Amino acid sequence: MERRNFLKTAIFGSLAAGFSLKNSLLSAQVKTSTAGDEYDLVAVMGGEPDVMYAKAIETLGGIKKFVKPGQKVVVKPNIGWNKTIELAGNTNPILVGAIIKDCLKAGAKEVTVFDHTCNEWKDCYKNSGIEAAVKAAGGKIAYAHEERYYREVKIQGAKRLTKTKVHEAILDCDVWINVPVLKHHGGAKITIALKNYMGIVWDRRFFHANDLQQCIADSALLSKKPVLNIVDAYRIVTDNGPQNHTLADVQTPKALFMSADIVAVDAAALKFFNQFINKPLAEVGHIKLANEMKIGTSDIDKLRVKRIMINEQ
Amino acid sequence: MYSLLRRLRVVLSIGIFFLIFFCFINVYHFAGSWWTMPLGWQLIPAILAGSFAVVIVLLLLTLLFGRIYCSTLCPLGTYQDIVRRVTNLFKSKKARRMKYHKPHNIARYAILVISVMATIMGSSILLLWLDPYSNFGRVAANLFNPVIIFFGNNLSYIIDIIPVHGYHSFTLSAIIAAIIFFIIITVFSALRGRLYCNLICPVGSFLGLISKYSLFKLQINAERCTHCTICSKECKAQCIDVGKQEIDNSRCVQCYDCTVSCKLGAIGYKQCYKIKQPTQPMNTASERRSFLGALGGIIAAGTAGKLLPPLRNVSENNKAICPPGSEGLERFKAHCTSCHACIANCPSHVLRPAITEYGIDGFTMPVLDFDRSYCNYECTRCSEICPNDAICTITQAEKAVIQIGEVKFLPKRCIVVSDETDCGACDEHCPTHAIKMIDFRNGLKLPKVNRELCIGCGGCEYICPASPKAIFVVANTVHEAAVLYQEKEQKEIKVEGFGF
Repeated sequence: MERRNFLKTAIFGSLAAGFSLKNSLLSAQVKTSTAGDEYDLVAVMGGEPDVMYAKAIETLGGIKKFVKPGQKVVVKPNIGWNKTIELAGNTNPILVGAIIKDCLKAGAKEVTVFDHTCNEWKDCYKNSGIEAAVKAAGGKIAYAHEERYYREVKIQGAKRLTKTKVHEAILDCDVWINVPVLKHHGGAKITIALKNYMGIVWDRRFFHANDLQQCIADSALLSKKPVLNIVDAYRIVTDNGPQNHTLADVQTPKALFMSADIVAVDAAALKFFNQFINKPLAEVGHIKLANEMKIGTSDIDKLRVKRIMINEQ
Repeated sequence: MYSLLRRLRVVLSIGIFFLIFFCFINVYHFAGSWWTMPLGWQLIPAILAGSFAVVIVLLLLTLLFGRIYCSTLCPLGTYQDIVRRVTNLFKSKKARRMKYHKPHNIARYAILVISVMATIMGSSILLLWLDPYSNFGRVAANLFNPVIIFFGNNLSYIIDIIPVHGYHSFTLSAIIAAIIFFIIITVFSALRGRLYCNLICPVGSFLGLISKYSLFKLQINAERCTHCTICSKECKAQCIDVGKQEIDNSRCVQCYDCTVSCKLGAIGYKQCYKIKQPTQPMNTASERRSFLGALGGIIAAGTAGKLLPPLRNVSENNKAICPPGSEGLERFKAHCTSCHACIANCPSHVLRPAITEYGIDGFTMPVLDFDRSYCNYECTRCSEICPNDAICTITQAEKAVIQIGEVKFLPKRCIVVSDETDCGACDEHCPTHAIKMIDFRNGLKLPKVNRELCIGCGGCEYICPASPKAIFVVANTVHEAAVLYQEKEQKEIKVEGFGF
């Protein structure tokens, strides 16, 4: 009796296992055929910037999904400060270089990189390591230190920032990729992808004088939106940002977040940041406002998130 | 041999002229190196900077061969030669001819003595307006620099590797002052050659005095000379008296034009220490006259000295912020002759010519203007280029603890208080952590300043969106020491997951 029962369960079990295996194989095939469509956001941890980027972009279906052959591409990192790579004031140059190379491989006509820097622009471009990385990867550096490089645009649906001068590289490109670095920020509370918009406009002082948080959210309503937002969290600034002066404020968690949804990627990076310093979403006005204005969603629990842990060694 | 010497003089002077000129039209701010060296060879800057080696070399050179400095090293001298050369193209042969003029000894030595007295008493005001190098610098920086930028900017439309350069570093009053001097010097040199050098220029008068005792002097060989006056017609210093067959070595700028023009080879260097001057009586007369002039000058300087101190009074203006390395207002004003090398090379354009910030005697001296920009924390460019050491050379580490002014914060004006919105622009720009955002209300953060850490770079004032500014820098009359931010120990935080 017992033996019979055992055999029965064994047979059913193996059958069931076989079926489930087949199912999983089938679903795996489905996955590859519609690559990248089932995830809204990718979070990677534990690798070098270029490795994490490669993993993340692969999960989202490859750069070809976002950049078409012959297109003019802009990669917009944060190059705001005259800081060394170790102090994490700017986006990691290895990441910027990897993105440019990938875009060019996908057939991009040209890849331009710029930022309206806060410190003296030549020093920022040079000491961030980004100028060298861009040139090595075959991209172009654009000037952004004078008003002449900016053109005025109207922003539909904005509450405070109804018009502003935006850099011509953004206005004239086919697609742009937003590549911020994750940092603590004394004024805006945190600086990630939304805050990175302040580097494509000329008059930042207007933002500060007219409700900073609202203006940051408004700026993301600009009709030409980034096709991808890639948050560099290889090194992050946890305090005294955006311009920390000592390594005491820098952590190296080696992470990267990628999404087409700018609000989601900010919310995800912020949750990650909260493991270091308490900074609840409710405190960060611009992410909250951007969510309310339906620029994207900060409710990442409702999104399909792929988490990748890279084990080095 | 003299035609070779002349050619060497022309090549050297043009080379040095363009190197110095380039220092002032360096609109893309290439960091200085060997090509800024001729700035350090200028006499007045070298004296003010206390570069004894340079001063001694220049004096020895003059004691040996006369005013070689004036024709070779001085950029304003070369400029005058260029003007004369160019205007001669448009003149009739007759109009090109120069003729001998008597020296204006009383005037030139009086100017020299007054300038020296004023400098000794700690005011560089006369040198500022008379020094040839500084005047040349102001003309180049205020008149030619904008022209270069204008062309560069238009070229940048065609060639996109040329960056646009802002026009924000110009001050009208300094431009007007430069235009006035530019017209004077151009007219002087077009009509009378080196009249400026032999009448107004304190460097010319000083070196002229010394070259009276030069070992080698250009002299006319009376036996060969036929009084043809060709040399005199060529002499830009108007110092060859053919009637007496004499060259006034105190005015001769050693250009060698006469030696080349003389078909008879009658003009050449002579060793002069053993030769008893045959025309001694006349020389003593002129000597006496210049001595009287000098005495008059001293008296005039004495009276002027009594008038000067009120001018020198350190202005109470709290916007009189002088660059880091200048140590304080009084020292700065005593050393600066306003050549604008620092202004032309300031990458952030925070330096501009002063209008009234430093008082009347500090007009056109470089001042930091935080409405335009702020002083880069990492930059020490002005201190490196200043040939006067009015801005002493400092390292970045030294600059990090020099407080040129002190920050003041008025919360009432702050956007965070008045509008109840986030701002923090000042904190963002502060390079020393002198500003910290602290909890205010409704989740807002308000800046709090720590004046000990502040170096007065003006980053906060520049970026403050409030009008009038809620945060601003007030000048330190004497620069003070700032405290360096104490580094915390780094504690590595390990996280296992993404937190979501």
